[in-house]
Amino acid sequence: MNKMKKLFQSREISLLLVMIILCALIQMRNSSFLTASVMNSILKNYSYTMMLSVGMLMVLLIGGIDISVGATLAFSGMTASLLMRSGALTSCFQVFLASTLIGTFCGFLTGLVIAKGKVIPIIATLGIRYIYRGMSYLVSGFKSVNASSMLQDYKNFAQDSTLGINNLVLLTLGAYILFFIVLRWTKFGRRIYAVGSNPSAAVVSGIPVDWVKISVYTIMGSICGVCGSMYVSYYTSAQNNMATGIEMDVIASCVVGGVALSGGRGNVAGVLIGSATIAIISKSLSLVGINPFWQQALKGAIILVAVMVNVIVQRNMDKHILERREV
Amino acid sequence: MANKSGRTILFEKKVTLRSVLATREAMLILLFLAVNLMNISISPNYLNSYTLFTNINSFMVKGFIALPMAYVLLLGEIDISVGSMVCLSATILGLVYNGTGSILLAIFTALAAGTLCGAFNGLILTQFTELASMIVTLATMTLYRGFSEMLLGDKSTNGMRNVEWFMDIYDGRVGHVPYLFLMFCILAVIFGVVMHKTVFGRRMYAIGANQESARYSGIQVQKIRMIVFTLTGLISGLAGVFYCAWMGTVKNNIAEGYEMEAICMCVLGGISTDGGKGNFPGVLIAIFTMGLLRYGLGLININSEIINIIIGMLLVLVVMLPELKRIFK
Amino acid sequence: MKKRIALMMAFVMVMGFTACSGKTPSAEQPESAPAEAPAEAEAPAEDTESSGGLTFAIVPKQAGNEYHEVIANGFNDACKELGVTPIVQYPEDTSAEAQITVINNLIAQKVDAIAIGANDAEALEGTIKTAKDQGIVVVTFDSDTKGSQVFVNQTANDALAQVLVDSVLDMTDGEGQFAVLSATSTATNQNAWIAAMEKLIASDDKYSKLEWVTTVYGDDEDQKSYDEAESLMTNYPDLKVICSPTCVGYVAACKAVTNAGSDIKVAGVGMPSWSLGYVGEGTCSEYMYLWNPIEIGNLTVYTMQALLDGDITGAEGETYTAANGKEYTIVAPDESVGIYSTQVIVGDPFRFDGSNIEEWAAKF
Repeated sequence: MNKMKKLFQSREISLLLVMIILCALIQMRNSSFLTASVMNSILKNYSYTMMLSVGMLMVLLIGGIDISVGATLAFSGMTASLLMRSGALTSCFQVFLASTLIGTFCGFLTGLVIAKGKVIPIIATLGIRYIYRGMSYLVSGFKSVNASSMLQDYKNFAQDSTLGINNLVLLTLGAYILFFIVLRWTKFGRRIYAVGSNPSAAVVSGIPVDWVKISVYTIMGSICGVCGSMYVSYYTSAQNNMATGIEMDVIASCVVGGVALSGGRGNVAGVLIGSATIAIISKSLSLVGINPFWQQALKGAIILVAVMVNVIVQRNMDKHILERREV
Repeated sequence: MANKSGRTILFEKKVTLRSVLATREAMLILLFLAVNLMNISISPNYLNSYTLFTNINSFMVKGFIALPMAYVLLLGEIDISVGSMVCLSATILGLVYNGTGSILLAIFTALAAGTLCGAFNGLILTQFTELASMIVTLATMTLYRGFSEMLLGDKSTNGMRNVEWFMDIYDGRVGHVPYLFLMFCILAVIFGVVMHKTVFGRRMYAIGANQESARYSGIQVQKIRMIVFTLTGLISGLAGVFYCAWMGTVKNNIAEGYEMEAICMCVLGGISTDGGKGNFPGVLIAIFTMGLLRYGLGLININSEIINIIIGMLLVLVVMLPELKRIFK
Repeated sequence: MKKRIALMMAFVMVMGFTACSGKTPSAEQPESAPAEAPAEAEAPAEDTESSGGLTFAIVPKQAGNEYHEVIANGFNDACKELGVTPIVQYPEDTSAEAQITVINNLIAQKVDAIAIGANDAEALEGTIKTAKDQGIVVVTFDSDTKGSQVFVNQTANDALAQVLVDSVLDMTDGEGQFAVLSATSTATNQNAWIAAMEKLIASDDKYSKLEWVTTVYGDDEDQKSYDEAESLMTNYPDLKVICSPTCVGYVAACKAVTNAGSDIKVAGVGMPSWSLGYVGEGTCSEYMYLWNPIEIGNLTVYTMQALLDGDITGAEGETYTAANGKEYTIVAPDESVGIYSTQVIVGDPFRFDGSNIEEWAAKF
């Protein structure tokens, strides 16, 4: 067991190394990169992607996938904004609460379709992605909600700081800590790993697999809900097409962080590093003066290299373990 | 009975009207008929064969991609880089044409580019077998789109509209029937025959059902994966050529979201993303059901976002139906 | 049993969704769509005059683009005024492909005229030709495309470039760095305006001290534009002005600058209702420009009517009096900036500042 622990640790260290090299390269080209204000702006800007990634970690751990996160985010964020515009919500907290509740409900439905309807997650969420996105257009009547109809303290939320850390970053940090604890030290966390590593064994050992699945998707939904509010607060406008395609960034964050799509493998620390890497790639390529038309290709190349390096490191580690066993 | 080999062994069970009606294909055909009936009843303009084919043509380009996508899904893999491959090969077609003035050379280069992209996907997937195809094609999706942006920048290519025979690939018709549709039919028959009547097809089913046992029974799993991903690249390249013949111009943002549409068509047609399940006629019916549903609802001016809701629900419901039936029985 | 209940719930939910989508506030449905028998296809002659009055359709750039929604409102109003049935059909996204699908649907419905805010300068040509072959009048607004009969241009390119460059000059106090935040890298009109700005700056010495550091693309998305504006501020510490010739980019830049507490100024074109609070004394942008989008919608309808009535053919130099009493002249195309059709110009760019923005924000 000790060996296993070591293995996981060294895995994260190799990821961290990749990130540090990346940062060093950027820092060499642009010295303003590692300053508080740039870091703050990158983290703030990617807070919701990072937060979604930790939820996605859980979904991937049970061997599922959720490509409807962008749509769920948009639907909950939009509905909460509409409620705020109509005057039904009167404080920042209420907006967050409403959006989270809507997201939770959406996630619950997704989970129900997947666990009880026995639909393969990618198909279910592919369909649901269309449904929630369309619903967002429907409820808003194809219009957006502008900054002028939003509460002032809600608009300030994304800009203000608590204890010197931006609120959005703080929320994300909280989510990471919470998930770290849940996945490592709770029964629910252990069940998630059990379902992902071997679903049939999990059934035999008496784990209510369906309910674990439903809970995981429900939690993913509530994270989408929170992120919906964060998103709207950050950009101070609720658009129907917001966060389109964000699922790809989120999945990439997890994968770069060493999470296996087959389930059962991955942890919070890896995802933190993975999503930070994606954030840095996406935001800082323009800092070092790379032509905007080259950035997309570079991003793709870096993701590809990162996942391949991951595999090579993993292979070496497996080899070492085998060698050690033979000795 | 879900038969993993995909060849329904009929003599094993009694064929009753009920069992026939309960199959996925029967349901799809019913759905297809229902969509058509609905379209006919809601719009007097639906059954105009000329405009009908105009609209069929406009989802045909996506339809082409659904063909190899069915193979990919059958293997239990996924390829979400197809849209970007279409874009990149179309870009290369446009640039080569603008550079050399030879449309034939341009078509050839575009097809080669598509094939190369597909082969690159296949290469990585067969060399790094630990990586899921979702991850690799997610990265190459960004990469190929990025190449297209690098090559085109904020420009678009032009001039293709002057080459009449090239534009005729898309616009030309035999009577009311477009060439593109005929080409699709031919290709679809080939794809269907290969999938159901050849050793290659059976092997694909075997790999999709269980990659490990397929390997142990002597099937060259990696070779077949390589072939299928390369083929997907080739057909995406072909779709890129058709796209050019359709639009006559290329920008770096074309063919976005094709991957999801193509996957939707296959899944609705009964190909499971888990691999090893489904058959080809289902995919064909699904392509036309989806396309005509969009057309019909568009005819009464229903917004495309709302059509998407309906398609999303169809997708989920159709896949969920066996389970629903089991529980409500 | 539990399972059954759970599934039942799921089913009810899905059905609920279906019910919702049943009563959609979708585009106006022409119940009395041209009701002739589905005529033979290959004879798409001039039998478009249906008995139930005229039907005009408008195809904006994409769903959820509120600037285009305001134009569509103007379009609807003018149609009602003339007793014409309006159809507003949004394409799914900003691709030419989505627009072609929509236009094909409209052709199949045998509408009398189609107005398109084109997503591509060339790709729609074939489809437009099909429409014209069937006797449908095709005009463009917002952005032109090849094949259109008349392009209803919001404002003359040079006039807009002039006011934009002048506001940059004014806001930088005559010298310094500025950057442009545009829409998509392939947007025809933004690219045309940027080209006109480049030409203007090169042509006059008084602009020589302005340094155009870069052009970035926010894709007309709130999020991306905001992000691009933020990276402009980090990448160019000496930046004085961000100039955004697109409404989405303009308000995103205003937000980014205000949130960062930076003293960078924002110039450009913006929608008054979105930009409320960012325009005026003591804010990031003292003034901005726009034309009247409602008028674009109106004039589009009047032009379609004039073309249908045969008052004009779309040739250069023709004049006509629109239903609002104003007289318009058709001017020559300008292929160098992507205007391939003869054009009617709605008006000069209008200046919004602290004194009038609230009044206009109530309108659009």
